[in-house]
Amino acid sequence: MNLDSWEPKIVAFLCKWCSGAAAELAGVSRLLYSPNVIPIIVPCSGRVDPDLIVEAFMNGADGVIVAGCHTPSDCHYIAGNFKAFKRVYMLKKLLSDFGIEPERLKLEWVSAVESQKLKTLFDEFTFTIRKLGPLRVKIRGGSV
Amino acid sequence: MNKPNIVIVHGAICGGCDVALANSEEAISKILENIDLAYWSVAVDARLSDLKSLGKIDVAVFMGGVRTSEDEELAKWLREKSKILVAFGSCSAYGGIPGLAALTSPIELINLVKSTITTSSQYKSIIELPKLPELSTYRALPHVVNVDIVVPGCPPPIKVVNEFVNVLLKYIAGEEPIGPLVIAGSKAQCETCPRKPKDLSKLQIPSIKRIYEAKIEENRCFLEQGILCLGPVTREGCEHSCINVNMPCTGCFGPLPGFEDVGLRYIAGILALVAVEREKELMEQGLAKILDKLVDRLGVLYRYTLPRSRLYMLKLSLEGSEYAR
Amino acid sequence: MSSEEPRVGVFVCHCGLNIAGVVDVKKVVEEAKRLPHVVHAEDYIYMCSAPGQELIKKAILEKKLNAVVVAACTPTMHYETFARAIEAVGLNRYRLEMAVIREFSSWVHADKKKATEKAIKLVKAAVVKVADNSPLEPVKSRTVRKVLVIGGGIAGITVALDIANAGIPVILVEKTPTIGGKMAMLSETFPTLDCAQCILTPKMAEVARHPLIKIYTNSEVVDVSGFVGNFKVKILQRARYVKIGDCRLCGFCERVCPVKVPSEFNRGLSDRKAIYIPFPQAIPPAYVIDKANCRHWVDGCDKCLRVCPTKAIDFNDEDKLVEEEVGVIIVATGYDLYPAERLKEYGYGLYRDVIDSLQFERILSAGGPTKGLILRPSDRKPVKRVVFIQCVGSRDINHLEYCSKICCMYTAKHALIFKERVPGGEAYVFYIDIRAAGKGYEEFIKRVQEEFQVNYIRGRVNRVYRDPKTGDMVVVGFDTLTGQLLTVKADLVVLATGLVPQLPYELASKLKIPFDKYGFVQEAHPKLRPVETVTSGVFVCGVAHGPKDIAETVAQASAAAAKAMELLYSEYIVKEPLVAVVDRDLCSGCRVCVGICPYGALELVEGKAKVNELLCEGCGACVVACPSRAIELRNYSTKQLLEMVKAVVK
Repeated sequence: MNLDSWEPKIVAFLCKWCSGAAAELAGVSRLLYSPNVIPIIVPCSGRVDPDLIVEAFMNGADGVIVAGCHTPSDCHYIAGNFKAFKRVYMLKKLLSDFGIEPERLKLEWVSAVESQKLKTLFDEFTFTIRKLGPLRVKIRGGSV
Repeated sequence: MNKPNIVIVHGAICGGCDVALANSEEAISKILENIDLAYWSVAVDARLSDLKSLGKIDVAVFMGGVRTSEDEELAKWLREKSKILVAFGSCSAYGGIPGLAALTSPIELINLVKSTITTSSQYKSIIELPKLPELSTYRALPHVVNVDIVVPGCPPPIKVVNEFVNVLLKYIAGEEPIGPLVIAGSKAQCETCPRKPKDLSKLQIPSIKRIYEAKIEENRCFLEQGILCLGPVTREGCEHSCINVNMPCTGCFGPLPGFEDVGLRYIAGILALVAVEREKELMEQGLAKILDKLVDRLGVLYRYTLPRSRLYMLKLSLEGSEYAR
Repeated sequence: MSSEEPRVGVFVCHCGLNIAGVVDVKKVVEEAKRLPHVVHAEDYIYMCSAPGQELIKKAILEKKLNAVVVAACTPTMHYETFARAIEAVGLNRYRLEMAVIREFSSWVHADKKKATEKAIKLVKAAVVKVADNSPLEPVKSRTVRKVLVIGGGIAGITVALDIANAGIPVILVEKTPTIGGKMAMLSETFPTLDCAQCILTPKMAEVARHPLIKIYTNSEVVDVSGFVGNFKVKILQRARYVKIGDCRLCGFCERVCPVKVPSEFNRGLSDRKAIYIPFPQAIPPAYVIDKANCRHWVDGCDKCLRVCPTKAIDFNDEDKLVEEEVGVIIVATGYDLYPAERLKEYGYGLYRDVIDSLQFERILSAGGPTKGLILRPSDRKPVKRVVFIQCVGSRDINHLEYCSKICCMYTAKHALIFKERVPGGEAYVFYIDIRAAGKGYEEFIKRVQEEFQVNYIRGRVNRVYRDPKTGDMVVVGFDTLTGQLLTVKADLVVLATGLVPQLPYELASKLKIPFDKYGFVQEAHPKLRPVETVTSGVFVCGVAHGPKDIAETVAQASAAAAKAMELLYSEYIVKEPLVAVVDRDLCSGCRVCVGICPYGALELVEGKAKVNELLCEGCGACVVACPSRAIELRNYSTKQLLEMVKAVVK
């Protein structure tokens, strides 16, 4: 891979009620942010399956964002954000068990009005991934 | 007419599968009656060279995972030679317990073995390990070659072994098996679980407990009692040998049809359900803490299936491994 | 999934230069043409315009398209526009997807090349999704045309009357023995100084005689099941021990009753008997026995029974569990005052002459314990000087972070009435800010300050104590405008205590409505859906939703009534069909989904999970959780999402 021309690929799963709406607002407010982040709108952060996140990594994503409604009470579906929290928390641990930097997966709460927060999230996460480089595993020991 | 022949070979294995097969009198007698047992190094005196000299192989049963270059070679050779290739036991089918070592590199493993040799130190430097076949990336058999029949279980229970032999006999009688055929149910353990939940309507997991911490009520759903049971993500068909002796399912029958990563399914469903009634109050001080009670993540979530998991595939592909899928 | 092979048309909008100025729309069209399933792609300057829509319709007919992607602005903006357009030529509206290339690309990226690349990815994702979208019809269910109103204060009364007057039966449940709520306790109302009882009691009477309103007092909703249009509720009706129809309010019973307890209605400023009526105009107009304090169950006292001329008293009365079916539930559970004793510095509970605002209302009320004379509770001496302290509990991070909204106004009203009733009396108000946003409110405050010469002191009070020599109250506070520490002597101190919601946690969870961190019910949308909750068919109004005054409460109650009627106007409830579905052949009956679902929309039927389409809100938490992958969310299937992920990263 040519590192000079490498651009981070980032998928952002956005809840349509909060972060998805914030992304719309960011558009209306013309907030410029990193084009590396491609949003996929889901009904709720609780709809984000760990398999979807792994699928993103398997297909070449360097980072994944899951954004949902603020805890404890903002979730449009009452408690989907807690499910997202548990799943992402455990998946980060598993990623790290398998040698993948858990920093490549980020869960954030963004309300419908926090377009600025969303912009900052996208930009800072792109920066983090840029620093981490393309997705790879930390090889322990080396091969025989 | 010549009897069809069968060969039974080993990869990385503890020997439990051999015992399981030998234990099933019905299966063994049917095999001996109908099939020519051409090679089974634990039962019939034969060497690998004898195996290799066989002109044709009808059924090859592979026990254990693919750990060494020799295992891999053998697996590929068998695939080419035999009409039916069987992954027998969880190690062969899904990776099994030795599969937990798949995340550790071979050199690390060797160094670990060397460092734990308890010979007095003065001889340590001159100890040499015997010449071993080269360790390769740990894989389950279906990851290396296509298999026709999967016989799950650690080890496969008698009922499953018998059923497997019946399938073989049908094949010999001319019925082509539709592969890959898994000798197990296609539903989760819960479908037939003899335990009953206290709350029949819904499942709630108040917290995670380790087995020594709980006084496990018999006949009541383990999950309800905080004991992590892999039943909901594991195929049924084992007749619940663990569950019946008051121990939770650890998943040796492998993942349900259609998906391969037991761990991901488990965190998505069962772990997301932990303390569901108290999420709001716990969010501030310790929703994460409650999940941290699961210490041995790999050992619990992937006890038998790590080498077949999507995350392992991801790791291999990121390493640029030739075995990546 | 649609049975026929997908034939997708992609329509890329320029949105003038909004999109085309940054995104190379021609390139997007070219790339779209190469995608699987896409049989047609074109661009146009304004897709949402009439010619734009015609273009889509024409392509559907000519190219036999069975699915459409419009790459333009957001679905919020124009999904409906395009959905109607495709419906006009016979396509199902769920065979439409929008790729948001304006808000998610052209408006937020300056780099044209990258914005174009991203737009292409967004189109790819929309194409793979729409190819697998099922054509769906709305979910329908017959409704029960009856409304449950929880809470019989001014909010509940207004809702009940509005709905019943429209011809829909109402069940009104009130926890206390009478409807009327807090408003019945007030003397006058700001800013017009209408007598509260005079405007409230006719409404209460109207409720009582309305043929379509059934009142349950002394009652609580203890269980709620079902879903919009078809709720089943259980109401616990506590025994009253007095037969409502037989009581003639003669009051003989009350006179002979030997037990005296502090009156709740007068907030402890006077006593009532164990058999009592909260206030003379109470609805239902009947006495009630307070079992906890009645001696009948202690020593067999039956004095009241013996004097009752109509034999209305029945000691054998029992609590009853009543079941009702309703189509809509309206929560109007109101408020209580924040316990002022928690603010130790003000001495509430310690000194009888430190009272809360509702106690002062009772003192001002002509029907109150002092018949409207302003006497201090400790020794019934006429009050000459009074200090009002605002923001008691409210706007205080140690107590209530929020503003209780009505205290500035009612304190001004209190001060005004005091000055009117006590010629030469002095009134002081300690405040942080004056918040008087409302019609005629600012003018009212000005009038109180200027015409009535009430002394407004900006600053907080740090201590209230009793002068041991004179017996007067002493208020020590800091005047932030002069920078001086002030000591004010007073006969009476009135605390403008903040409002706290009363909706019990158990009831909220039975209703499946979330509330905010203070316990106020969370509305579905703070601007656009202010009386709806996230559970369809459950509405909220009054202070249960957040602090508000009577005028706002009544307006919101009428809004909730209108929303309820909107729902019940038609015979059927119609709902979006984007809900979860279970494949019973895959389900192993593990019950994980049932525990995960926050709406109780899943249940086990014959060992397999089943979705109640009317309860399911379509969040998808169960889909992810199902260990057997037996559940799918319509048009957000795992397969679709996996394809979308591949489309955007590959």
